[in-house]
Amino acid sequence: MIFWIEFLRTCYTIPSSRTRQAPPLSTPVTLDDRLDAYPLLPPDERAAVERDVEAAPHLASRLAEARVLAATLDAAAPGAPVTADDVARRETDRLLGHATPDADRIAAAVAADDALAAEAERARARLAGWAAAAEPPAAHFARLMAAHGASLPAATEADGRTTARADRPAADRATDRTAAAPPRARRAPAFRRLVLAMGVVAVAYGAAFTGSSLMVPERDRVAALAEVGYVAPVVRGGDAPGDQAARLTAALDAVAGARRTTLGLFPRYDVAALDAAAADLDVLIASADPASVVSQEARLALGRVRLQQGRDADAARVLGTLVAGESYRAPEARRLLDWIRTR
Amino acid sequence: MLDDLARRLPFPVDDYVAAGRAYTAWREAGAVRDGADYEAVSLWTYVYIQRHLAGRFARERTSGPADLDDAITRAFGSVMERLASIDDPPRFAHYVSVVCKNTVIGHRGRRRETVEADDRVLPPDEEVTPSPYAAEAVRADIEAALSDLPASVREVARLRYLDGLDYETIAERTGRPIASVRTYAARACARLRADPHLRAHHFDDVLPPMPTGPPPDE
Repeated sequence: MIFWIEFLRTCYTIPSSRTRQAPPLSTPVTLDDRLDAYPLLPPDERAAVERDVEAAPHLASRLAEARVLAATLDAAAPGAPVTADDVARRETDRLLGHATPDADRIAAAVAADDALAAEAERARARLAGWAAAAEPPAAHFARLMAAHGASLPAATEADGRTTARADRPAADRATDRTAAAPPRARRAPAFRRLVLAMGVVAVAYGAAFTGSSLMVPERDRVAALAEVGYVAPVVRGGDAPGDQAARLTAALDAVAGARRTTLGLFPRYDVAALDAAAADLDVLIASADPASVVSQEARLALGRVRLQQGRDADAARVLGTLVAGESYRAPEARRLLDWIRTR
Repeated sequence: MLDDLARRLPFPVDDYVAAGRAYTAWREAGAVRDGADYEAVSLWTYVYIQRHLAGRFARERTSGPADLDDAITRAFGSVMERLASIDDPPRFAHYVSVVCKNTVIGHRGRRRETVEADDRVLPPDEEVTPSPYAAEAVRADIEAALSDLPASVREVARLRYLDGLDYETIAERTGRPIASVRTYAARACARLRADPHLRAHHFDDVLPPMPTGPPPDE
């Protein structure tokens, strides 16, 4: 109440004009005004606005806009609370070898908050799965550059140092006075050889990648276990995801962890690890509410696992429950069932 | 190794000013798709997109490695196709950041169409949250949006939005009544709400457009 009296006064007070009269304090502060001021409000006042908008659905889109703007401004402010997005950013930087400027702050928050620690674990598992399955970035980059009609960019020097200073952009060179550039005539042949070698490696890897992709059995392509995944949503207020959601995430991470490759090529699955993950999914499905997202995601994942293992009857049984229950996963389950029926 | 490309960058991937300088230098030199500046710009673009989208997809439920690769391909293709015609060259990093955001939105839209999800059963994690990678760009945009406000309003707004101070502290620091501080902050808030560059960070009604259709290299 004190805040609104204060807010009301400020809405109608122009500091440079002390003679202007403020309106009477009984003037109501409209929900419109509060939505305008939403990014400026403390959390409890924002929650009050959200509650009031529930009774005024025509203002829902304005609230959504206000919330996103508030989140954007909050995230840019120093000392903003560490979020699950920040945790994922740190895990990504670890994997990609980037420095995270606020890594210490994030690490402290993760150490003090079990929900963030769980988030870090999940992000780490998902990123590891991606790193194992992804085309090597150098080859991917070279392929994309070639697709845009460009030559390959400068390569790393043979001893692992970064590109020669003379190859760095003009804007960067202008401020760099630490080393002299080698003469272009002396540098160019070695540079071309490196670029050529990198191109050859990229082409060879691309050919192997294509061969590897073509050799994947149709059954594995349809089951698409590499695309199985689930990240439990973090509800407002930062509460930890439910136990079942965490178990689902762990089981699906185990499915991803059963995948083996050779330099990202010729993917295959560890049978014992896959069986263990399927058993976890079975237990989870038995205990979860069939209408829950956890149950639906678990059944789709189990269906895919059984399909990959060649256990078509088991796959059809579990996928059939998704279709019969009109799950939001029914279209995907139906597609898999259609494939089984054509065998 | 995933970090090999990052080591080849001539400046840190989060040095957005350096990225803008490299891009500006390339444009001023005629925007020829060759040479050190072009290499730096294209390499930075790929590494930034890879980092940004990997960080976002690390939290995407039901998205797999193929989805991430597809998103990287789309975003990179979107930037490269328009590389020679991006407005405001020093803000190149801002442009790439917004392309990444729109790529995530586009991915979610396609996924929703694919599974024909019922909104009532879709888990409530679909809100597009601001990217943690955009924080520096957002701060620069806040500075720019406030730049033509009166000095007194600008001072309060900077303390509120960029330094994260509460009203009481701002009032103490500036010697102004707390009511004035609130009023100034509200004026600045209205400006920020309408600023197109800030809007581009979190809404998809602002250029650059969302990548659509098949990945550009297909």
